[in-house]
Amino acid sequence: MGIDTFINIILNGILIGGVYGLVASAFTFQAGALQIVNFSYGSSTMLAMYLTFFLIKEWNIPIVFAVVILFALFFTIGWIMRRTILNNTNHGTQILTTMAVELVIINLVIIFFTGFPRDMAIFEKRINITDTISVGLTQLICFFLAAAVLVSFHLFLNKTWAGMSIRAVVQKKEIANIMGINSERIMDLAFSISYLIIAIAGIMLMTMFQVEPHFGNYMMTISFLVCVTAGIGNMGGSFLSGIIIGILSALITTLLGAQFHDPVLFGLFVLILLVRPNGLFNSSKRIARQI
Amino acid sequence: MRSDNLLRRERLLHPLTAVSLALVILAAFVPIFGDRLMMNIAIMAMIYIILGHSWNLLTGLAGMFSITHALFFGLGVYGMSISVAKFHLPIIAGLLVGLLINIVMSAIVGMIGSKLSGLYFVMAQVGLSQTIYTLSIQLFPLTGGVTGLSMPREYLMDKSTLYWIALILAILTTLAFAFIRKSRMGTMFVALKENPDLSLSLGSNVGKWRIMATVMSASMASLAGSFYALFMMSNNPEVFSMVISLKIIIVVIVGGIGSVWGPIVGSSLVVMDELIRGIMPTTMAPFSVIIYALVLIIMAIRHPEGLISIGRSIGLKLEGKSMKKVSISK
Amino acid sequence: MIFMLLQISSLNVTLSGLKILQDVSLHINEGELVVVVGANGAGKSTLLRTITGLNPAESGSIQYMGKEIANQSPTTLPATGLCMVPEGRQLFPEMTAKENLLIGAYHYRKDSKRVANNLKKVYEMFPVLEKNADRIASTFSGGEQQMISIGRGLMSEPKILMIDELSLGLAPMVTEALFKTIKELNRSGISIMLIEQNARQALKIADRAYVMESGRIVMEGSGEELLNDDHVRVAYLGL
Repeated sequence: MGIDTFINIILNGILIGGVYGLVASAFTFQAGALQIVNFSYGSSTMLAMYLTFFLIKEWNIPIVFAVVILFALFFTIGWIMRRTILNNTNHGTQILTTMAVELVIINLVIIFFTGFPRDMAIFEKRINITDTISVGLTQLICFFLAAAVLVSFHLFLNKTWAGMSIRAVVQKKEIANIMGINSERIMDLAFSISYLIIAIAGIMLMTMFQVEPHFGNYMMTISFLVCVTAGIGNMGGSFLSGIIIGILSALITTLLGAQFHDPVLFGLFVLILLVRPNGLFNSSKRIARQI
Repeated sequence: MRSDNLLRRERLLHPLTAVSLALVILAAFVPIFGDRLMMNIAIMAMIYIILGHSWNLLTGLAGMFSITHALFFGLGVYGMSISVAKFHLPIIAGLLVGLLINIVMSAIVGMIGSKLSGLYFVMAQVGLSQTIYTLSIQLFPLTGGVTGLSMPREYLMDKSTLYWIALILAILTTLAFAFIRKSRMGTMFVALKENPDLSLSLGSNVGKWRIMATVMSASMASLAGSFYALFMMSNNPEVFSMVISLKIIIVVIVGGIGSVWGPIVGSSLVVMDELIRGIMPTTMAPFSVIIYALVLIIMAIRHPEGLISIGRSIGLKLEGKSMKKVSISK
Repeated sequence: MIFMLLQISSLNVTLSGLKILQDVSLHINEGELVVVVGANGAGKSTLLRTITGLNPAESGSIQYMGKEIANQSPTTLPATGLCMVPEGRQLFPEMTAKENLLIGAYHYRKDSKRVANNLKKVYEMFPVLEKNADRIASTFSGGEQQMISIGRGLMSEPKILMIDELSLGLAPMVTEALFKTIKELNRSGISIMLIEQNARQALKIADRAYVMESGRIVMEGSGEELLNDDHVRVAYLGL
């Protein structure tokens, strides 16, 4: 294998990894900052992918409208989930109920969209860096868009009143209350916004992958891996570790073969959990406090 | 305090021994009066009773939140079907192979469980189970991939034979669970669950107990899996799926977590589900899953903090203190 | 004519089966600096938490500007001018000093001029905060954290500032400076209810004071009177 092929693989891994980072960032925000463990996370991403496909490909809705519809829908889903089943602090209950939601989503998708795998079949324009090294245009756009989404979310949390009150509620709920912040409303808002990120991530994933009803399981495990590598709650770190996982995943597939991809990656995941459960770049003190 | 309650409840339930005898006698009549459909349903209920006890042992007693319990069940299925369909080994060998794989896997899970707690343990389980699921699809020459393997016809057993085996297995696991719960080991499991400080002071032994609980639980699930393989005469990767894990959990929760009677009461849900599915065309199968899920969701909405006390007793809290309650008053 | 801002009458509070407050009655007039002294566990903090609605009141009434506020949601209070500076500062640990202050202005956040104006006032009072506005709150010293906490309370434009354990865990010099600040705040027109274990200094600046023991108000008088009272001298001043 030539050095050019190798560089292509790495570049590809980096670009996909950025999107992995975005996907994982919403989970890390929910679990680390909001203390809401959402196991319907993967299937929500999958649902966003299916809806993207059907809105744009099947129902021929202009992309802008499709995105607006998707955003409105996912914001609402997030809101309803938080109000009905995630308004408790018991992680056990949260895990079980969101698992149930996951099954509901998967089976609704099967009922309405059938289990048939879907693909956007985008003709990928390659941008040549040299004669033999090139990157896909869509992938490149997605990578920078993912970074932009994360940066703007960071700015939202730090520069706006809504973002500031989210951080206040997350850090000291009771005090936020006596300062006039309705913590329940703010938690609803925060969770719904995390669902917007899921919707965006779903759109991006749809341009790269084929989707089938159980794709969410795979995406969730990848998110776990990314989150744990970065430390749960560390959003910036999750982008970085997303890239690392992207590269690793690309390398494993080409060097060892696709059948080793999941076992090696998830073996690594369990290993990281056992050795450094608070993340590779994280001291145990900072864990879950930062956003 | 809670173990006290448990014991008292059990004493209250002692008259139910009579009921259980009645149940067994009633069950004995199924092959006589029941048709094939009835027997199929009864067998499925028995399988879930076994799986329920298995989950109850690990989560209800030992307090390790087993979220992907179908992993152990599925390994039992694959152990049996691969040994029999690929290598033409006798059934008993298939059973042992399934058990062996499960002991190895459960030792790993138990080890992880003794090191990690809460969300991290749950995440590790999801990762492991996803890996095995993918492997079962990808190792096509061994596992038969997505379609799975079909077992040779000579292994086909009579429905009523299968039924009797299932009944005996269900009774045996029920007795085993009841026995373990009463034993010193069971007391130890509960003690470690209820009092994490105790587990700290016991030091290295905690790991041993946790691994033991996992291995025993997995062995039970493995039995159910191996039997299921003989019952279905094939395997497929769906035996590892979340649906089965969740069904197991619901069966126990509906019946009451930690109690001997939980899975038996909860299996009525399986009976209902199978009955409904028997009537509906197969294309409606997704609805059955949705109904299960909705049962769980409704239960959660009604008892948000106490759907199961496991959340609290396992201490499913992230290590971060960001949401720690601020206590101002002394 | 003296205007009664806050009037609490025969307030009872029971928390997890324990009677914490029994028949507590007290009031704060406009412009007053009222001190509540008492030992650890006497129920002082519970009193404040009940006024702000963090703990439920069992019976009795809490009237603020003539309106019943017992068992009201805590989130409605800042807008009415009732604000608590909680025990142990309770800053938002991972937010900057400035952000902590801004949260105090949450209930009128849309009026950016008003926010900036108040922020300026707080900075004038505590210049050290302006200098370190972008430092993370948890990295400040105890005294500075108390300044942020008071500043956060002031940002909400309170009519009554209820301060819980101003001197807790602070060096004597810092405490003294803070007491001076409190007195100045009071002179500028804000009524203050100060809860303190450090009875001597608190009573010195108090207009009126209450003594609380095992959930009851056992004594009431001007700061001076209590400073000279035999029981108070023995029990709280160590004389």
